[in-house]
Amino acid sequence: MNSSSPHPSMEAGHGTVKTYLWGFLLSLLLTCAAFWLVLSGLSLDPTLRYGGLALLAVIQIGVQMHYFLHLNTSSGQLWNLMALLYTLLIVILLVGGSLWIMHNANMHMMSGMES
Amino acid sequence: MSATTSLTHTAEADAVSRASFGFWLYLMTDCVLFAALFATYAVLHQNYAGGPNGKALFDLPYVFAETVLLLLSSTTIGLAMIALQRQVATRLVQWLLVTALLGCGFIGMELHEFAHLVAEGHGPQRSGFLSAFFTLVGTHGLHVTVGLIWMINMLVQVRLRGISLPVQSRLIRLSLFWHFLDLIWIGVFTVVYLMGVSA
Repeated sequence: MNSSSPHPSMEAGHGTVKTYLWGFLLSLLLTCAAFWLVLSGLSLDPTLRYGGLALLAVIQIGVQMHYFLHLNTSSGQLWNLMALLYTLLIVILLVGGSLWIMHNANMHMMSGMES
Repeated sequence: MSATTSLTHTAEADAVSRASFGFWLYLMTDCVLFAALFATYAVLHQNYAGGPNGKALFDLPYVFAETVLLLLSSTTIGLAMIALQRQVATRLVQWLLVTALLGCGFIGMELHEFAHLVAEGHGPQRSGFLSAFFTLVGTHGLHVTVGLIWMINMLVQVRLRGISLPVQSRLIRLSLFWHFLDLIWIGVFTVVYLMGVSA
């Protein structure tokens, strides 16, 4: 009778053993790749290494949102998705803005010391 | 099966759905809290004050083990949710116990790491970098601890009341919270540990 019951968005009803195992395997793979990138002692351009690490993290967050949180673009989850996108905007402003303004402050303080 | 033990009534399902959405909004505000801590860490991550840097302090294989424990626990709470969906209380309790044990393992490892750092004189007061490190990683650890207390509470509730509708509703929110903590951890091990060591 569970199959006929309406499932609220983002709850137990969306997952199967298979999706959780897929989520686990993909996450493990991405985690291993990220640690390998640092531990292997591979001589990489630092920018490339940071970029690779960031990319792997973003992909893994996407994987877990899909397989663990069952977030999708269906109309039932429109508001979950809207809240998430808005939060993403705030996070980017908060982190990006802090780094930008503090970097500028550091630059100005240093030039003040040199002159 | 009676309507009180499964989500057959649309009104009840709606109530659970609304509660989940409300909790989702809370998680989004928690996300902003962590963003502020990540920003603080990013700004201070090179302020060593003559102290050690991440490369000297962090043990990556150890962090990898922590990561696998948390990832496994995020999977097992998913399996608990499947047991919940199928209304199999014994299986639900088993998977919740496994999740709680994995979570305890994670917290135990983290506390051990913190204790080791403090004993070596690399506590939060040592430098701006370490203050930001302990605040960010500690806040995540505190969340996991709260999740563990919540999980033990739910184990007792399942034992006493069975899988009633309020219990189901709470378990769904607990699983959201737990998955969310694993998402935050991806950011922590990438930004703090991996980028910290390769700097």
